[in-house]
Amino acid sequence: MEIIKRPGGAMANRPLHFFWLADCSGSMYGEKIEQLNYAIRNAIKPMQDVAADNPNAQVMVRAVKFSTGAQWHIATATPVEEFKWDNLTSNGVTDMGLALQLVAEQLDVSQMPERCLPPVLVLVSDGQPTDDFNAGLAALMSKPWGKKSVRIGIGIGQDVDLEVLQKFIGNPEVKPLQANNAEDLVKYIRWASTVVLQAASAPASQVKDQVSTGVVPIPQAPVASDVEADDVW
Amino acid sequence: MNWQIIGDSVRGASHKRNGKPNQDAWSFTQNEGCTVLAVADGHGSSKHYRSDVGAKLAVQAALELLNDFAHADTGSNPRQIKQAADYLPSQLVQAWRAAVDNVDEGQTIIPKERYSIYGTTLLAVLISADYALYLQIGDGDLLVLTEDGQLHTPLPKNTNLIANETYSLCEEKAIYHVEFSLQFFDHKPLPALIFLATDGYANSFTDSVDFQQAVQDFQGQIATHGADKIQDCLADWLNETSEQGSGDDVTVAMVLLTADTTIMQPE
Repeated sequence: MEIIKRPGGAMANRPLHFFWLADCSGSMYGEKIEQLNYAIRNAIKPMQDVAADNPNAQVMVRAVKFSTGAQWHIATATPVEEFKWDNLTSNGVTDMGLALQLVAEQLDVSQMPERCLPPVLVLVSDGQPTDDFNAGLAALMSKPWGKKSVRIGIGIGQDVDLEVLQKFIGNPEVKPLQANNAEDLVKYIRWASTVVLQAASAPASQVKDQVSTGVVPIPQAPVASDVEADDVW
Repeated sequence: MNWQIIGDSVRGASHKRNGKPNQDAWSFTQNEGCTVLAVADGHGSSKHYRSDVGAKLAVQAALELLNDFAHADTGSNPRQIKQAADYLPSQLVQAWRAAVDNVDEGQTIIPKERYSIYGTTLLAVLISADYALYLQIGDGDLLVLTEDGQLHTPLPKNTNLIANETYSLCEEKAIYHVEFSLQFFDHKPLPALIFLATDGYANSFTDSVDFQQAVQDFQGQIATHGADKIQDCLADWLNETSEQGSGDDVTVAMVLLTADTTIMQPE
């Protein structure tokens, strides 16, 4: 029987870009940065498993670290299957706005075509911005993919500025998560790496004029654990 | 001029994994006066949980509306036809809402919620003796390959729709998002192939060049192997497309200019 070639050029699954934005300021020194490194490393396998369950999405991971200035920790969009985590270290202030600007530069439609899935941005911080956070957020939201991104904010400890994280999320129905101990941090990082990733990787259509709370409905976040006061950061 | 239709619709690879139905729909009608083809993509999320039904209703509403339009006493004067076409967006939205009201049987009291449950896009083409009329609300692709081999998009592209956002028949202001255009056949070249596809198809290609290549390839393969043979291959190709590409439901349907005089009927 004659085989007729399928019409059209090359086919591919849809890229989904996942960005970690990690606070590496001096206040993260010690247990907080150690636990953040542990939590992200611990979430890699579950993240890879979730990605493997959906062959129609190609998850690509990058990471930005911010302290005094902001720079790429993982600059190249890395297929999740090859994603590894090198430990972050802490020092300096909290230039969160610069981190947002760095990510915004990558969210241009020229670099991230329309067929991509909505990008996921996970911002983790224990403090408040020391630079112009609003300018960074404005740069992010000036990009179509910035507006359509799925944004998760995870606060570490009691001193985090939750208002800033809420502004970053930009969705009143999604609250920042506050990790007051290592257990919660691991839980939240894993949730963002798996449950949120899964939701973003197979989104149903959303009616434009009815989208007030983001293009991907955010699943229920895990609840904070009930821990002894001594274990609280 | 005679027109032949081929098309098919497959359940998306991700829908098979998640136990969801095919939420796309397509159909056509052909008679002495006109050919109408329509394709719809129900939105699919839990909020739009009857969107597969909504897509079927949209296709049916478009077939009836455009068939009536072609047979209405609007004359053959392009100006009169254009004036009559200006009413199509509101007529389409009204017809779809009436169909939704009918099937919903009062289960959902608030109209806004009722229409949202059945939310869908729509692409349609009407071909009469004198003109082609193209109509679209929401995402999906409608391309025209003319006899001279040029590929056109007769409707403006919604550049502000990225990610999974779409306009929809279920919106309160849906009539403002229904785009249409008329092409009168006194201006050559004629359409040789009119291609309609839900967004699951284009999203499966690496880029728009590889997608548009598919339209050119379809024409070439139909010329080589015949439309019936391509119709036989289509479901397998669309399944492969969804599996290797977007994972979404995929529907492709096209109208071909042909020497054959057979009038087709949908299955």
